[in-house]
Amino acid sequence: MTFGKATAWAILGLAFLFYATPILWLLLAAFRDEPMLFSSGPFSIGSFEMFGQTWTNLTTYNDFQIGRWALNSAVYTIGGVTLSLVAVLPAGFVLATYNFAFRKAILVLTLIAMITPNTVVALPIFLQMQAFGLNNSYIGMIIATAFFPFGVYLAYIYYATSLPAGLIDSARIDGASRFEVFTKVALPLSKPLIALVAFFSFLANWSNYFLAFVLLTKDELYSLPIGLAVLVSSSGALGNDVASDIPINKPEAIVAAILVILPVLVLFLASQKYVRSGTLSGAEKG
Amino acid sequence: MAHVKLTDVCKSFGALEVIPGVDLEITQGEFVVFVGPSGSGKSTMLRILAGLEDVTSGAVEIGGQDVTYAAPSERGIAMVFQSYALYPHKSVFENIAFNLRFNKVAKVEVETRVREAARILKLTDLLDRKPSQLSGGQRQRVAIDRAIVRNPDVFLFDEPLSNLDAALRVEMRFEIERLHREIGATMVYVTHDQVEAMTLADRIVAFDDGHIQQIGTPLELYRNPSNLFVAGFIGWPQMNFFPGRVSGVGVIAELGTPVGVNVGDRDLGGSKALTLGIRPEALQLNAPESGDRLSVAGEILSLEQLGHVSYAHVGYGDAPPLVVQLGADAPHGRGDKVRVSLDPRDLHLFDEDGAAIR
Repeated sequence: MTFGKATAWAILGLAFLFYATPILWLLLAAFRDEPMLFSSGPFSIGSFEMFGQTWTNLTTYNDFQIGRWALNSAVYTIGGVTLSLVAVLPAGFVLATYNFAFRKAILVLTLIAMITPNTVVALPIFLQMQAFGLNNSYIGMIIATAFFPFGVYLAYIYYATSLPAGLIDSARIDGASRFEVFTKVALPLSKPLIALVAFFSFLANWSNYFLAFVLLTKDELYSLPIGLAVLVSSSGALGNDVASDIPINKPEAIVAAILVILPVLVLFLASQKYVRSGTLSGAEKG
Repeated sequence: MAHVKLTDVCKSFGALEVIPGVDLEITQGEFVVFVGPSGSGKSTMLRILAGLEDVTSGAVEIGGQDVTYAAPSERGIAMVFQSYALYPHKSVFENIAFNLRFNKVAKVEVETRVREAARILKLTDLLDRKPSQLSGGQRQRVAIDRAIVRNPDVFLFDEPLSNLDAALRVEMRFEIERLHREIGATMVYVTHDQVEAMTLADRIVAFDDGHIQQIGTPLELYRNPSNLFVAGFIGWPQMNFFPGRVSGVGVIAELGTPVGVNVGDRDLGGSKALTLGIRPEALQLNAPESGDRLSVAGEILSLEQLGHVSYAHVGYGDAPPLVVQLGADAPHGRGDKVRVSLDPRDLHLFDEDGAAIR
């Protein structure tokens, strides 16, 4: 191993330790009870019994309300991902492959929308949803989260760089309409793009806190991040004050955090092949 | 089969005019090759024929029908692309059948027609494969088969052999020529490779800068180029050029030193400055002196031996070297002092504007 290679490995190793340590701590901490969290070392291992008690405390709270929130989150996320895919893929395709009036203006607007922080659009979205009577509803939350300009831009880049113009010409000569060129030629070749858009859309929607916080006020409609935040703050689990009578303390907060990050981890591991190929496609001539 | 007619076809991309007005007629069953350098407008012309580009003005007729504004699929054409443009997610069979499926052709007929097309280009054994499992030559055969199966009036080829290696190119050239003989359809073929143009074409259309420079049979273009562009573009090695001028008594060639040339009864018009051209095979080394022949002394700067023929690059003064075609066994080597001579009747003369003087 050369000195350069060794240095590279050393830097990578340090970076890995830096980012992996909190996750490792979180996973181990889920097996410890409150006293043990304070008394033993940071990476000590508790027991399955301790985890079981924590899990019971969390899931029995308010008749397994946390399950309801997880289900809500799944509905919002799957709905948002599906709707954003339906909107984003054709939009990116048309922007990349056809010339029409205001195309450049639409691209610039997409870019501006992409870099506009979520917090800035939350109020207009809230007012819009209120006007349509969609606040505090599944459909309103799904429509709001499906707004995904970054996905439009991803699709635009993918189709502009990875879809050979000859294929579109060829399909047109074969008699395909524009819509059929999209459905029969472009879409079957879009697996990496779909994986990439779905992944980022999932990530944005699953952990979306602010928009859900603005749009949802009924606790039966809460998503997991909102519900857990409300629960943890109302129980004082993360404070050092006298604990409330709700059996939600630090171990429960830790398991709740794992519940939020676990689907993201699993989805990333399952889709990483596509996500990586999607981010690289078009970088080289095939 | 159909005849094709282009009438005053113009094409601009924004302010950039790429085809300033082209008239062309292609007769039924003819094999016409568009040649020209990159950016000459030949591919744009083909895409206009295919309906993939709109004309800015002018008319396109195929088989007597005005198709100027018709969709590509309504023109009775099929096109083979340089990049093959095969659908990577479909099998060879489905690639060939794609158009038939769009046109709701009955299943049994699709099967029959695809298998017949596959037989013509020997693809029967590959029908279940995906394009990624094929070699370059096989992919291009699938692309051609995809055109055959449609039974089009006009085949359009856009540099179909450019991505293939030299040996495969020769093989595919032969296949395309055989295909034309077998089905007798009208074919329009774009290439920048003049060997393809010379070997395949009934007629060549030479393009430069969006203009048709000359239309004719391959030998017409080779023997009687109508201007400097065609003379330089057709034929390899390129025609040798050197300057000349018209003096009171006739033509003076600047071949090392000024020397008078007998150009016979060619109509020099009002030209003053000329360009003289001569093919490499019309030059001779150390030929016996004779009254009419022009000659210049030089030195062989390099010798390209191709086996069946050799090319000597003979330098004289500061002018670009003359390329001389020699027999394979010519007893010459680099550094030899030689005398290059030519018969003035083999000279091509071009006026100040580059037009041929005949």
